[in-house]
Amino acid sequence: MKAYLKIYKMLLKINFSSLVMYRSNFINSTLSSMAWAVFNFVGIIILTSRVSTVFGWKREELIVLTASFTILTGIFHMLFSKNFERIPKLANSGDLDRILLYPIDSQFSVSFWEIHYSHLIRIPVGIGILFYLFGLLKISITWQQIIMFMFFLVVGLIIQYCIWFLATTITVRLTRLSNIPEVLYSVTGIARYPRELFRQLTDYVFIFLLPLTLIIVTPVKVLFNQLTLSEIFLFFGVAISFLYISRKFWKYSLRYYTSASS
Amino acid sequence: MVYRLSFVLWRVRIVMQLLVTYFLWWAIFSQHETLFGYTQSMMLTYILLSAVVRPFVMGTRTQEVGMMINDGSLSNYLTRPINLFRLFWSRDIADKSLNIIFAIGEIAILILLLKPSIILQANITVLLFTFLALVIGVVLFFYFSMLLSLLGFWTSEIWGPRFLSFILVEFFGGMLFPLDILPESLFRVSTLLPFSYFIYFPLKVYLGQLSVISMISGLGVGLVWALGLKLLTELLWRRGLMVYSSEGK
Repeated sequence: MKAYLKIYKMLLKINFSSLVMYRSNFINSTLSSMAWAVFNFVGIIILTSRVSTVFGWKREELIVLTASFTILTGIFHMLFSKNFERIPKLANSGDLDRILLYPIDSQFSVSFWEIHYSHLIRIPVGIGILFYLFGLLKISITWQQIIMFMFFLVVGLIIQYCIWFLATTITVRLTRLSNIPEVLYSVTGIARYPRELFRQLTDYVFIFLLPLTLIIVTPVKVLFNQLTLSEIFLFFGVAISFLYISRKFWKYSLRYYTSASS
Repeated sequence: MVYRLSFVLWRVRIVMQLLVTYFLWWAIFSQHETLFGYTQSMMLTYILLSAVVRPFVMGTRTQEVGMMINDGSLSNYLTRPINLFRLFWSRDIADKSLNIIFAIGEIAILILLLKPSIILQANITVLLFTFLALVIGVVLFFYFSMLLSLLGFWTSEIWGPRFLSFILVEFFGGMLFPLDILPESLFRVSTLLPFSYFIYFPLKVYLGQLSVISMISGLGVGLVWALGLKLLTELLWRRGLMVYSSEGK
């Protein structure tokens, strides 16, 4: 564990050096990231400007949902999404061989290698909106709720990581599915909407989307004291199951990796 | 068709995005008969048709030009007796045709499943103006996208401006909602930009909400934008070729 932490510390430094070398790239990415975050808020504010509730969710609750989504996607895209974009390319080009030869866990190598600091901007934007909204509406939040919210957000992050990892692992066997990360960017965007919206779809589709609908909705319900025991069990059950399945699936897929004459 | 599964995944993504927007508006209108000057059927028609208009107007391969400039493969085309702009027009038409076929199929299936109350325009004049608005949108977007790609002559970091422009187009193009539901000041800003002619203006014409004078003046402004971008693109192309050094080859 200590060794992996040391390696990760080194990766943070290397990625930061890369940021300093390509400054205009970093500025571009940060501006784009911030623009996405702001437009998400503007979109939800406009959509809810004339209605009091949408699928039983009040306007301020939807804005909190969007703010929480912004924080989580900021963390996720900073730590993981570039790595997931890399996996299909590694599998397709045969460069995965090199990763598999490293004396460290291959899942760690493919998941944590690149860090995209430009997405960091979304985190203060999301937190700022949350504080502003709670201040404006005079909603009092206890420290325990904040800590629980952060803890549940981390579990939501784990679920999102596992979904992405499961999906991109498919490209180890089916190398032609190189656009999976792009599809995931859009699909995981639905996590910022209430689960009730997807109840309109058939049960088969809803079951498929259920893990995504838990990622943000569950932590937000902590802030509004609306979480039930069954939802907590479901949330943690999904996280643990997906962690186990994604790990097993990665190991299984590597057995069928055939390289590309690297 | 070699990458069939990839293509299917791409279409699934587009349908999912559409369904989310559709149900969001459906939920909002379940509490109101009219909102922002739209009825539920008008709004749902707008959302469903935007899924057809988008690939028609914005389906393009011109983003490849930037990569071609940066990796030097543009040289292969410069040495051939072909006009690059005409080549990309042909590619775009092929790309749009494929996307339109699938988009129409997907929308037809969604309409059969969801049974929304949609507006079927029967006015020939309105349909003609809609077609003209779409053509202007296609031309406008082609040159807009080409303009972004030509930045590759001066910088290797073309994806940054392209990504930023994508966000602006997504918002000010009217993909998520009709622009006239924005606050007055934001709506005025959106009408000054060319993006509203990609999705919002053609669909606004289709819904029959504009007078003949408004349609004609809208088409006129769109045409001016299209001509302006065309001239700017050609100017940048000529200037760019002077500095092009075929790096990477």
